[in-house]
Amino acid sequence: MRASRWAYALGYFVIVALLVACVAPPSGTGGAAVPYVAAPNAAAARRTLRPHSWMKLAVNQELLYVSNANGIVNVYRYWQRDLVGELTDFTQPEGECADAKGDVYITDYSTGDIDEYAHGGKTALRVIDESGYNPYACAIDPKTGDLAVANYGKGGYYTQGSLAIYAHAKGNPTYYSSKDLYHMNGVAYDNYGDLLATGFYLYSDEYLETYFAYVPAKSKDFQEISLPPPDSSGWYETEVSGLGWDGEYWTVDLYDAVYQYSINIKPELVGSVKLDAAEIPVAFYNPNPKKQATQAVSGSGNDVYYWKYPAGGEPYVTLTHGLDKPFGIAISGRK
Amino acid sequence: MRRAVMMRFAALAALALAACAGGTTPAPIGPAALARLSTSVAAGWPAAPHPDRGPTWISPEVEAKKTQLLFVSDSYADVVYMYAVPSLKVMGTITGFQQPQGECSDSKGDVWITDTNAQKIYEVSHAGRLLNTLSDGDGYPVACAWDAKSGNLAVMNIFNLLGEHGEVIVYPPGSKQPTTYVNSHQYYYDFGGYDGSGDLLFDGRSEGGAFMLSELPAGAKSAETIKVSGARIYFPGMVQMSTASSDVLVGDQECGNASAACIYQLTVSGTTAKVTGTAKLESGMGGAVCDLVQGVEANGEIAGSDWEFCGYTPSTTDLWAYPSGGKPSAENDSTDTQPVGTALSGEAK
Repeated sequence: MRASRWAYALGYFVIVALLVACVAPPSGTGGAAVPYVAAPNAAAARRTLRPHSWMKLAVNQELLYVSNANGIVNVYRYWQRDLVGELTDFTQPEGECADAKGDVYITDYSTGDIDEYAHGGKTALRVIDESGYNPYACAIDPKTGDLAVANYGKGGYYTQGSLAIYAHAKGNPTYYSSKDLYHMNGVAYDNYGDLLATGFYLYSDEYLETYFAYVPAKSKDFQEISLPPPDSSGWYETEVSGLGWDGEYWTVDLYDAVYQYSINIKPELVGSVKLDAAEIPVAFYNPNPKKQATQAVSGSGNDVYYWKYPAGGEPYVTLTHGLDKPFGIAISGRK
Repeated sequence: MRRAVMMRFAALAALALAACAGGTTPAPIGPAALARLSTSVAAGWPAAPHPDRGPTWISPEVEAKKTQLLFVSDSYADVVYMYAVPSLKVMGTITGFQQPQGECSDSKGDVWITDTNAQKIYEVSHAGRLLNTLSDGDGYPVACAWDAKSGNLAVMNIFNLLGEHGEVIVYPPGSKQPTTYVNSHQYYYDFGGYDGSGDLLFDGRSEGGAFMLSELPAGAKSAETIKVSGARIYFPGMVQMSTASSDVLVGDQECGNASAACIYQLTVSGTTAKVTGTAKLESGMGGAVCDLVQGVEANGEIAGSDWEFCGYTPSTTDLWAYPSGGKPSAENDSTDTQPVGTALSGEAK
């Protein structure tokens, strides 16, 4: 598979490759000028007015946290879908995750922070400094409380990203990296504490490949694995928007659908659930973690959608109030 | 896609990476050598593999109960079946292997499964979930043994990457870096088991095909031949310390130079071993089993499978009384095709 991949890339750029092969460093600033690529969700830069965070009393409610391109994280009551708060202490909030207590972790790509908020809280309980990278997605191990953070490389696409795992969401992390998962953009845990991460390598301005890595709960051994793609290409040629665990299967988020995988000795594609118009990472509402989730939440444009799961299809709810190119979603349990 | 813009990227550095990167991959061994990878007397001629490519399936009962399970590798479907003991009801199917063969288990109930063609050894939980993967960079793993004294995992490579003599590699607990041991007189390495003192006994064959038994004493740098008297063993099968006596149990896949399987009880002293008894195993229909590749003894029984390539009856997984042998006390004839390795996990009821 690797040979075919390289053959494809080399065939595509063979003339250029002959000129530069073994000359240009794999990273760094040497060589020709490199076009700067906009960071994810860079629309945050246009926000100039920063209101204060606010939060209505939202105890004993299930809450939906949504990060927006304008730098604000909206907080809704999950079922009533009314806006009950706004968290504003971000520059570029991206992926989110929630722990068993209902605390919500929000990555800030630009500042390199991961902010932990109590369920319904309007000020951060603490700020985790991941400023060596651009944090983009996170997940909490339901068994141990470990926090995993998927990081882009800081300062552009020639800098290696990483996966950071904070034991019990505290202290200094253990970092994992891979040349294939050069920029990490998705991470999830299953009920058993196994971790699945995804990242991508940009081979050219027209071609990238997505890779996956698996960290079993016991061994903590970061190993690249091949997930069979939904099509017949043999590998993922597109960037996935997110990863998840639906209570029964791993899920890989692609446009309009999630693809379900069973991972044990070898990953197997089990099925898919159509989620019309889903374009951003999918979050699952799962009242019984020992069973499959009953709802999925994602969005596109300036909307957030709810689907029945695993029925999928057309969303049965569209949420528009207060949204600005939403990206990260977390569902925080009842308190 | 909102991040399509991210694909705008300079190709040059990536191409340089692609052009400059590279690694060395050992040259694959030829088909003749691959035919010898099987630990069974049936090596080479059985039907082409027919892998089960479905996802792993585990019964919810496995996690809900402390059921004793028998893990059986099937090198035709490339799966490992999980049977409840003593009912032999199928409780799970672990898929995704390339050629699962010998197995062993530890005191926690974790099961190690050698995957010969993948050159990997997988540790799975009692519930069949992947816990750990060891890559075997030295050869083709066909069996393993876990040392209760040290926690070491010994892996028998039937032969090395060049298709030459095999070896034993020993992984210390938690390590991915094994140490290699050989008996210079032994060529093929098959099954092994530890005694209570950390000594490893393993069988195999000489380059000429004669049965051999070897011992790697605890702390030794090389293995030595154990001379066996009292019976002739034709084709290496299971090696295990008896749970009921100080005997070493050694299986013969060609018992009496026939299509039959038996288990010999050996008393080992220094570099000699004497056969003191034999358990002959029969199929449920009567007559000798065709081939028991690796069985496991516990609780007064032998658990294992009859790889039935001798006639037209299906392969079975069975429980036989031990040491009396004879017909099985329980049998499942609906699941296995080419059963090879076995391991027990969990406490007996």
